[in-house]
Amino acid sequence: MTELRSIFTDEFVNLLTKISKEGIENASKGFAGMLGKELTVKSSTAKLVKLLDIPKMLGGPEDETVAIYLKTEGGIAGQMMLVMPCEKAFGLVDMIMGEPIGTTTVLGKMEKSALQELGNITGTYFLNYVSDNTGRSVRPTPPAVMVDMCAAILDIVIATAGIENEEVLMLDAEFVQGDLCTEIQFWVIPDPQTILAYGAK
Amino acid sequence: MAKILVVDDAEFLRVRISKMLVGDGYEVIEAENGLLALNAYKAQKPDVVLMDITMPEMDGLTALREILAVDSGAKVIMLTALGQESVVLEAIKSGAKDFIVKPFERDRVVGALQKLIG
Amino acid sequence: METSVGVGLGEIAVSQNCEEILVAFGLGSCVGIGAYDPVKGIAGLLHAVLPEPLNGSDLSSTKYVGNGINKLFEEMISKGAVKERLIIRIAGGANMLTSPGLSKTFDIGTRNIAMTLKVLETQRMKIVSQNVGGSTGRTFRIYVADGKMTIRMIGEKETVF
Repeated sequence: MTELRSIFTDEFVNLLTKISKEGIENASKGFAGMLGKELTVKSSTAKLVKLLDIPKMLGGPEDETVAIYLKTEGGIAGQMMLVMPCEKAFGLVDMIMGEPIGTTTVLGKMEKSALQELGNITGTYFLNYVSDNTGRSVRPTPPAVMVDMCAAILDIVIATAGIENEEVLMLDAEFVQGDLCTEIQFWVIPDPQTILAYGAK
Repeated sequence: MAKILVVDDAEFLRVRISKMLVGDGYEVIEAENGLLALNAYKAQKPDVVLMDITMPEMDGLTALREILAVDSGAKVIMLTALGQESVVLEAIKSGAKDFIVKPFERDRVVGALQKLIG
Repeated sequence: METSVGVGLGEIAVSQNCEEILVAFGLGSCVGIGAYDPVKGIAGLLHAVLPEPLNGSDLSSTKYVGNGINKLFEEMISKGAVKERLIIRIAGGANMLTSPGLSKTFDIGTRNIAMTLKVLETQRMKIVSQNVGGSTGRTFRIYVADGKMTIRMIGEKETVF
């Protein structure tokens, strides 16, 4: 995996950060546009963290966690996952659906669907950028929204890519709607192949 | 009253778009994937189709072609996050009348519908 | 006063300390293999990740089912356990991705279970009970004091299996 390390240069991380931030901002603007309510996003910090450290940072390996997962097919095959603690997901759904914070307490079909669309718009924005810059077409699968223990969810990425020692990008985004704000962490875990394809352009 | 077929696998979005269009006086029918969209098109002959691309069972580009095979005059507007150049070209070449990238502005969608329905 | 000993990805823990509980948190597609020698009071837990090496890397790692099981038994025997006495239970191996639209089902969980059964059968080791498959994560605990093994799924109580 040494090839991966050399591609995760500062320059590349900055680029990944930039397009991930734009992806989230883009997605949220879209919801505001559709709701007719002002919803702004301030993306504050971005840093590289080890995949295996994620459970500790989210609370614990058994903590109830929501993940929005999608695979990519076409010129670049890989996977992406947005991960957040369950409570944060509730707050995010409230904002997307224009409800007062605290309304959502369970992720039913509609709530998961809203998260699915957030994942779709955010993830696809990222892929569009990669595609336009590599000249390769890349299409996502419909996102899957999962709710389970943090460690179990991370198994998906770890087992498939065999990359438990690798680092991923963590973004801190603050969603603001009127007087309310909620802070969410987004983990962008592009598959090594996606990164390698980008690096090979 | 014009009939619009809204095709998207995200229930959340189908509901939002439906509310928006019904509020503007349109009749709305929904489908959650390309295959169901094709069936709905054949059965109900909508005036315009708003078609997502990323869907299970049958994606929007395939559904676009299938619908046009059934009705060469079908008016399909793509409504998708997948705004890559190659995808837009493929859709237009395949016969889509318009291509709107998500996240969308309400006016863009309504304007596109009005243009096609006249 | 009980202490939990976490067993992370690819790790093995062996203990004779009655106050310890060996725990593999949130087994998704991973498989937890637990073994207990009731005479010597030795407990062991392996947190296996993959059925076999993907691309020739880390060939001896215990994250692979086969290597892990061998190492688990080796360590327990070195502490005085007798292989034929071992009570074995397995848990995990869920298929975490089952939604439509994902063109290939994520089947690592199933493959991990299959490899575990195969390896144990080759060694003529009987599995006393198993709580495997499905699509939900599990936490697997072994109480060294009496060899009791439990699983817990999200939103549910810990149950003995």
